[in-house]
Amino acid sequence: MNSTESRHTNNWAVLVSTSRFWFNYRHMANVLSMYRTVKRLGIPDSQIILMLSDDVACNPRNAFPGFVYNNADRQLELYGDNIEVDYRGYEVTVENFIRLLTDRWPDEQPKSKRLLTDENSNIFIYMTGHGGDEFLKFQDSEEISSYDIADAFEQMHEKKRYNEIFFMIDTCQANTMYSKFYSPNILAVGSSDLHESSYSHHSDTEIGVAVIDRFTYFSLEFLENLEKDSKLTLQDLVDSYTFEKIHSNAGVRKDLFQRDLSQVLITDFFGNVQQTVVDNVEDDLLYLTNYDERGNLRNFTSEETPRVAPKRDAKLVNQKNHMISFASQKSSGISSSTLGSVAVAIGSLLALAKFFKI
Amino acid sequence: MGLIAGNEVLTRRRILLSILAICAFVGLPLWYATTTVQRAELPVAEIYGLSSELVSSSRFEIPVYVQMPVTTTGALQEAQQQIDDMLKARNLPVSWRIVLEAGSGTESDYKVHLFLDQDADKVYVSPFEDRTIKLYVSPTVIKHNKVAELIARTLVEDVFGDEITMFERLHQPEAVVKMPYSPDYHVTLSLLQGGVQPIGWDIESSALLLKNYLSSLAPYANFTFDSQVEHYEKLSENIALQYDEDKKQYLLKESDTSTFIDYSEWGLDQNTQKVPVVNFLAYVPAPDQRPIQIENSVSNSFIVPQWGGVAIVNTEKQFLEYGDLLPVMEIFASQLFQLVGAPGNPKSPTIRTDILTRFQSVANTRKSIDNLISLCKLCEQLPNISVPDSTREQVEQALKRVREAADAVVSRRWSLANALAAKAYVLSDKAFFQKDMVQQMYFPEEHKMAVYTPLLGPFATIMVLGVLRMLKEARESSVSEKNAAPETAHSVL
Repeated sequence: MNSTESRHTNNWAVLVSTSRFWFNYRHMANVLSMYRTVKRLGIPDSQIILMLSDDVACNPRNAFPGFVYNNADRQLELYGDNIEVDYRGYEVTVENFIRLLTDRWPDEQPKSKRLLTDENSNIFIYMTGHGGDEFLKFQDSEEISSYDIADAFEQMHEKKRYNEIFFMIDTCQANTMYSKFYSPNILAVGSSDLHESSYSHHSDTEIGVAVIDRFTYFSLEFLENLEKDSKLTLQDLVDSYTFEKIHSNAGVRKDLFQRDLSQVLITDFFGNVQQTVVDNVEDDLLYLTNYDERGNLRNFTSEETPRVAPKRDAKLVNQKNHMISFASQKSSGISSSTLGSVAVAIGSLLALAKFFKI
Repeated sequence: MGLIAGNEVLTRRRILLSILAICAFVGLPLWYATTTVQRAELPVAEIYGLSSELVSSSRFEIPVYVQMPVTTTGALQEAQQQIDDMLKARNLPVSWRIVLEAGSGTESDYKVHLFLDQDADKVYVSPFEDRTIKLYVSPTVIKHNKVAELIARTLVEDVFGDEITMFERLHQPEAVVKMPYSPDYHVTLSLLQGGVQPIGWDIESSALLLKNYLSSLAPYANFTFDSQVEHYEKLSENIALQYDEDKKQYLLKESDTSTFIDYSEWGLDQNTQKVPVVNFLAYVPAPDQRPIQIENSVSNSFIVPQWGGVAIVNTEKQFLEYGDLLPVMEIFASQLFQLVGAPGNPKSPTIRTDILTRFQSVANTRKSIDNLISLCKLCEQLPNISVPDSTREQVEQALKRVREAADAVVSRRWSLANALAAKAYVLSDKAFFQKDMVQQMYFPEEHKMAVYTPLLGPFATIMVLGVLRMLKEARESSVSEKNAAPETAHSVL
């Protein structure tokens, strides 16, 4: 395998905010900002799983009903423009998150709420909320541990459900959350070390609460300058994290990751490659399954026949490639149309012979 | 006084012992039963065994009937020998061979017909359903006894060449375009227009052709289909069409095709179907953006890997007739063939579907076994994960289907083999993704303390103190018994 170039063919993003209540506005803003970014860089909504633990946009305390901002300048509105939340409010639970990763669902779970990745998928996982040493709190009622996520990743690895994972977490003592991972091809970054808090960036006086966290703010500051064809690498992103900016020690774990970060394009995780195949079309497949050698319809009932062309010109079949000459191993020899017409001629002769009972 | 005290002690002792007995014989088993993780025994050895015998158990023998003129008898054995040698050199990961038989064969058999031709040696592989290969042999070849070689080369290189290559690449990742295998697919044909004027299409008639086409793919998988017409599906603003003054057309750059489809705005709902959906879009651009020509594309179409195909239809008509739709349907048919991963040669769709079916039966068998092995490894690795009985049942059924599929291959029933292998694949997937197999959450030791201490603490304190007191009393009474045995006896009297 080429170790410098990613061999993924599709991109997925799982974006999770885990805390409830109005004063955690910034966690919703964090995750919505990431949602906006991955969408801007080309991951379609069908490949983004957005878990939004509270609905701050419609909170009665919101001075700007229906809007969510991640900056006091309120230049960028995160909520209004075509948003698809997959898990909302109390649906954001540890169990649902583990089920999402391992894809163990009851039959009735809709496809849009599942992580339908395969061995060619690169997955970006972003989590934010309140955490501690090796745990992250969900909904003020339960918590997920670093072991749980590590085991879920191992199950994904075992079932070949990813090519590479980029795990990013913004919470207090975030770096402990990836300490227990053991499956290959996972790159993780966190906002703060053990016994370190992660801080919010600034508050909006009219909204009345902090609107974004520092680590996410500076990640976004970097990502915002990115275009779909950017050649910036993850090393550039990691280098942009400094203690002066974030006020905590952002961490990177790359021992599980095979590639050198300076070779990994950011768009390997934040964009979406979808290589289309243009003009690779061959002729006559439909014809060949519906007509026989003499140009007559097959497998049609008498009612259906009048609705389609009962006979089509046999010349429509491009037989050039079916005749293989051994001299050159290339198409040549009898021209296709001759063969076709010979066949038709023999056919009609036979039919005539039958008709006249010769 | 001593009498009452003695009774009290005895009663207390009885109470204490009975509570301890309840704890030991009811409480402990109950606690054990409710906290242990249910783990059904998986047939691990059988799964690993099957994985190693996969090669030997699926033995492909493809019969090919050869009609020979009398002069060339004996060539059949020679041709067989040559084919065997050629295949041996390819070293396929499965046991796969061509078996030549003399005779004419039936409609569904592969047939080689030999003809004498004065010019050059040529092969005509019928593109129709008849699975016939016509071999035109020149007198020189017959003179030099090269007929056998010609037959061998034709079959190994021209007819089954792609199949052999596909098997050679069995262990490599699948083509990017190919949709992940499913025994059922749903095909949605959509007519989308950028404009607003009424538009329609004679899909009922065209669909008749498509229906036959889809049913010819039935050995591979089942296809259902429907159609829809959507209006006012505008191109996204990110797509920059360039107007070409000379050709009077808008050019869609090849790089823009990847963002051509507006998944969020266009009515392409994929969530109503449980099975994977193959989408085919016939896009009629709005009048002010017509005609659109895709760069480097003669057919004006493109494939979106694992999703479907798009064809641009530049028309002013308000109703697309059967004749207008035929070329579009041909494009969709060709795109579908690529989306299911069919081989490129020979031309005959029938032979290619045969090849695809045979290949897929092995691929499905392999994937089923891979799934089961993953499951075994996982259960070994995560001691806390529960393995319900339903998982074991599904594993056993999957194994049964794998064996049946191998038998079907040996008896040369390829489509049955694929159907069984597909079932095995679905079952093994279900077994792996069993919804009750969600890993129990990890509990740190402090959490266990936090749960058990308030629950058992007060109770355990009383019990421990009670036991201590009992022991103390027992010792005291044995001491006093020694000192004043007669007195006690008296008092009992």
